[in-house]
Amino acid sequence: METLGLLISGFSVALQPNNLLFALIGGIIGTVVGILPGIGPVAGTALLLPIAFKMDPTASIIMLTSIYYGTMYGGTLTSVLVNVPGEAASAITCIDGYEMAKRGRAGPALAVAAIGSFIGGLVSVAGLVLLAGPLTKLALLFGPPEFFSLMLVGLTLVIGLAGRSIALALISAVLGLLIAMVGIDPVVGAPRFTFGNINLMGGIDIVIVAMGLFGIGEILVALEGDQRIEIIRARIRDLVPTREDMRRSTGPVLRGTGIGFVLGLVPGVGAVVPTVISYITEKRLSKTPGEFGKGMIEGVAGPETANNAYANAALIPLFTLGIPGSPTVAIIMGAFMMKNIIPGPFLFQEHADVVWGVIASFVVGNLILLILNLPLIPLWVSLLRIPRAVLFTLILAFCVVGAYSTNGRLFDVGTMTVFGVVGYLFKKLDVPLAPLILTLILGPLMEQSLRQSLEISQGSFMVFMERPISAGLIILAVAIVALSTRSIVSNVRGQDSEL
Amino acid sequence: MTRLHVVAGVIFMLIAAGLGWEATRYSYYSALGPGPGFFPLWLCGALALLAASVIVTARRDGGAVPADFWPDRTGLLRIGAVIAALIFVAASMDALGFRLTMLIASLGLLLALGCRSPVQIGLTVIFASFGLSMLFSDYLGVALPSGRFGL
Repeated sequence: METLGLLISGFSVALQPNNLLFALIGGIIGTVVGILPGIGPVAGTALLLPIAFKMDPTASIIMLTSIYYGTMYGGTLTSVLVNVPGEAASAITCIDGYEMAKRGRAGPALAVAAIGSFIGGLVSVAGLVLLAGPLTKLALLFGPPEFFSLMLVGLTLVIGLAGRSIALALISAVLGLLIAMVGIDPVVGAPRFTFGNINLMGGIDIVIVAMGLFGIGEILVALEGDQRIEIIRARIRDLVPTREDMRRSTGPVLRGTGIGFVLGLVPGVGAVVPTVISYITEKRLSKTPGEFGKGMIEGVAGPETANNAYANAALIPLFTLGIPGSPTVAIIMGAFMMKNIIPGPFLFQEHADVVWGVIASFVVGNLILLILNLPLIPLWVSLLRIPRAVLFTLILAFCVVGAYSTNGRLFDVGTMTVFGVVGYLFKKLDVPLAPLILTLILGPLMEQSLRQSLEISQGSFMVFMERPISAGLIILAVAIVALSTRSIVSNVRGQDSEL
Repeated sequence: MTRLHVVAGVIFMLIAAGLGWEATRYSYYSALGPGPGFFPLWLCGALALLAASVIVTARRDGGAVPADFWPDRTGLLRIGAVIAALIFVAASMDALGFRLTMLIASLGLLLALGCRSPVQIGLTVIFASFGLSMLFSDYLGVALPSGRFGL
């Protein structure tokens, strides 16, 4: 009952005109980011961080989270109408969504995706409300060894699911941790990896790295390819799904919600995995699996629901444990920290007004997106007609001004450029970027937990195995690495893997 | 993995060696417990091992570099233009100011990326320079450089 009261007070915050406006602005920006190629949710939220810095904490976080799940809605449009996913989580929707569009059924595909996304988002918010209390109580039992072990589990999950090579994913993670070491050591105050450069004393900002890797890097990759796109027209009057469409979509929406929600709770899974699992599940459960890939509405409803359920649920580990589960959530964590609000078990006690306002805004934001998205489809699609040269020039201009305004120095523009080239090369070499950005934000927390743990144990690493929760988490981390390695070895040996 | 991963592995190895050497200069253990060099040194060791494993795997696999790995000439020119524009911005904004720098950089970039419509060029250039300056400087209070010419 207490939680319900807090949620109701959260609604009174979320429904304030100022916060409503920023939920709307965030939803619109998120949809645009999701639609436009060359800019994903990570770069989109990172670009807006400097603006958020100037705003009230609740409004800024409401705007950033709205951008996050707004991209999930927006990405669907390009997947269905252009066969180009605006962001990675919508990639699987291309398979059946585009086929539906080619058959003149783009409207029902988009409508079912939007409705499914709304339901998935709403259920995840309900889950967040229910789990916030128990998870916060659990987190209060955590000391430095448990936090270190938990972050290790998150890391191993990122690595295990990151790509074809565990070694490359681990390299990405270690590089993120090393970049996080740049600056002044938090315990003894000595400079590390600054090489006498005063600009490095404050460390390398996550916003700069994210804009470089995910903003500039994406643009460089996109500039290699064909700059023309073919858009399938969708009329508003064609949007309404038939009763048969709704009947066929009910199961996939419910299952997608469950899959997205559960995987959202696990730090490090990433937004793509729930969509893939949902698609595979629907295909396996279907009486006509051979029709998948030829325009099955189940192949749109399930994954689209799963990605929005995931996006909302992925904020649960951040709010309750202080651990970001995905690169975009890591940027949102950066926004919290910029406002001197530390996500984690004390968040609900120390900043109840902010956090419950943000949670309530998820419901409001998802509703705004549902209302906004469907009638405005022609407008959203017209954005794709913006010439790539114009689009990329504008994104780059935003990146420049965003990087500069982070610390008010041109050094950051240069650093962003370097990370842009690194991001481009990493993409070409199949080195996953998600582990780098996650460890960059987790690095200082991991180091602090590790050093505090070793101080407690006077240097003995056994401290991680002597405490039951920590030992359990370490065993889990080892199991994840072992299973990931086994699955990769199986793939190498030529066994089929649907993932 | 392809033969290019051998090169990448060597670069990662060099980074590990360089940073590892630097990390040995920091205190490994102090009276307070692990020192500032503790975590970096372990990380550099891990990076070196991982780089070695990439080199070994890539040499063993010996996969050819995919045909589409390198961009074609047009793609290369576009990528070069973006990087050149960013370097120009970083190098000249203090002297020329935000608006003039962005005006020149966005104009050059639009032309390099193949935009030929005067209206599109005009509107984009004005938004990327004066528009963003107004948004960030006037409305958000970000102090953008005005340069020697006050632009």
